[in-house]
Amino acid sequence: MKNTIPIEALAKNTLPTWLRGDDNIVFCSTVCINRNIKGTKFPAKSSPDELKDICLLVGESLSSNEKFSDYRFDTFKSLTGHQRRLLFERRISSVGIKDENILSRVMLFLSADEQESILLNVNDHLEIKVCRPGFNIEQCLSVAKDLLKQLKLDFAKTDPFGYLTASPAISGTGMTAEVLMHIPGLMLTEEDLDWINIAKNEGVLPDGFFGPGTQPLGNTFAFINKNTHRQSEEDMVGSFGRSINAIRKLEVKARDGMDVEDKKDTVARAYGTMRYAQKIDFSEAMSALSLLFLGVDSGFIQSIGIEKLKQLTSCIFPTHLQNLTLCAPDEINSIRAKIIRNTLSKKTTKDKE
Amino acid sequence: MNCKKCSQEPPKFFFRSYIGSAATEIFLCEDCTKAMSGGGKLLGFVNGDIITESTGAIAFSNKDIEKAADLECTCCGTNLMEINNTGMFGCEECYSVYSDLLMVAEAGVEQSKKDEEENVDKEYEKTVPLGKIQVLERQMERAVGVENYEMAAKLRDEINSLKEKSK
Repeated sequence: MKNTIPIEALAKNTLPTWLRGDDNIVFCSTVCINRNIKGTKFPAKSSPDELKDICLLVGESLSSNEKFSDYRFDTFKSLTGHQRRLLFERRISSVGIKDENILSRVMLFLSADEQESILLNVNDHLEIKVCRPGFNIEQCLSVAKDLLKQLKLDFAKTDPFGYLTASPAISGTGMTAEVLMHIPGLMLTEEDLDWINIAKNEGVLPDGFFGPGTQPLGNTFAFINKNTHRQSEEDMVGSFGRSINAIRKLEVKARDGMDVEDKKDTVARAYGTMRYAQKIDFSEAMSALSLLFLGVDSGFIQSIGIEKLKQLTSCIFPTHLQNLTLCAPDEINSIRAKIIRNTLSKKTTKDKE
Repeated sequence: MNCKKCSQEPPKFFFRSYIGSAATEIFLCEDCTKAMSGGGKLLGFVNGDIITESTGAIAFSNKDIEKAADLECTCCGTNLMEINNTGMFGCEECYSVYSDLLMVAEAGVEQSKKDEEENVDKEYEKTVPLGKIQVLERQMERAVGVENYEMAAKLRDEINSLKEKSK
């Protein structure tokens, strides 16, 4: 296992996990399992020495196991703000890591492909996150459980509460499941409150792109199930999967049900903005890109392939853009617009009229 | 759809809290949000308006806090006020110290949900260490504390009925 995660290089050269799949509705699936070491106070109440012991304990367990040989690690306090923001934009670290007290105690172990991570000492001693492109919740759960087994650690657990976490809301299985869903059909047909109610009835709730407390971006929401009690992880994942499939069907129905001319017009306007805008902010660019994805999916746009669109999406995130171009903050919107114009102006085949 | 509290203004914020496996949600207008937040932060969005980050996923009523004001975890020193502000326990021992309140909170939410579904299944009491009338009395106090008088009246009637039966 190597020290230092090459975050800048990863950001330049590889797509984040959520953009690696072929599914144009469910971008990625994530399972997160929280655990605390038995007999030790939770991180917020632990002394610096106790927290260091946790890092050493987990570090030893990982380094002695071949399975984790490609993992790299870093302490959050050794990362620059730029690096932490890159991790956040790639959906590896959680949104709450801004507090200096928390930053000083958190450690990250990350697999080479970025699809598995272990965060130490955020709210709980361990936060194991497994992410896979597309709709792969069962696989995420299976991998996460295997990682836990490989660690061979004694976790805090009691009846009737199950596995004990700092937040009692997720005690029980200590597990949350999330999928990132791209739903331009539901958003454009303006039935947004209806589908929120339907999602609620199915037992899942939509959150922002980066999770709780954040905005949706480009018609993309994180659907999270935090139902950690009174059912096994497998049952929970099964019912969550059925709920997501129900919402997926609604999205397909919404896309198919849209008037073709209206859809073409909406996509064309987004394409026009992206093709010619001189300045474009992140939120507007993501919204327009969502429509371009819809256009490519519907066959209206053939001048740009889906892979190119994904690469474009990845590099327009603010910190990714700065990482790539070293531009100043006040230049970001112009540079973003320039990159988009250049990408879209490279035609490969004729646009469908 | 209007604000759940005042029923007059259009909603601007969506408030969700988790207790155990049950989630309670309401849509509130700006004024009611400020009045109810009491210094805490709310979570969620309505039609793209972001709400600020949640500080906690568990909330006890003011009466719970008053009654258990002296309660403190012997291992990490966490008290109820701290839990209410952060939504977090400090150690394993906190679960033992606050188990009664947690179970009543869960039972209360379960009972409300079941009442809404008009399903009079009393299975919940098997998981509650306190007597049935005591549980209902606590739930009634919580309902009054959050001004859910309709629920409080239902619970009062049920308590009176049980007391009559036990005479």
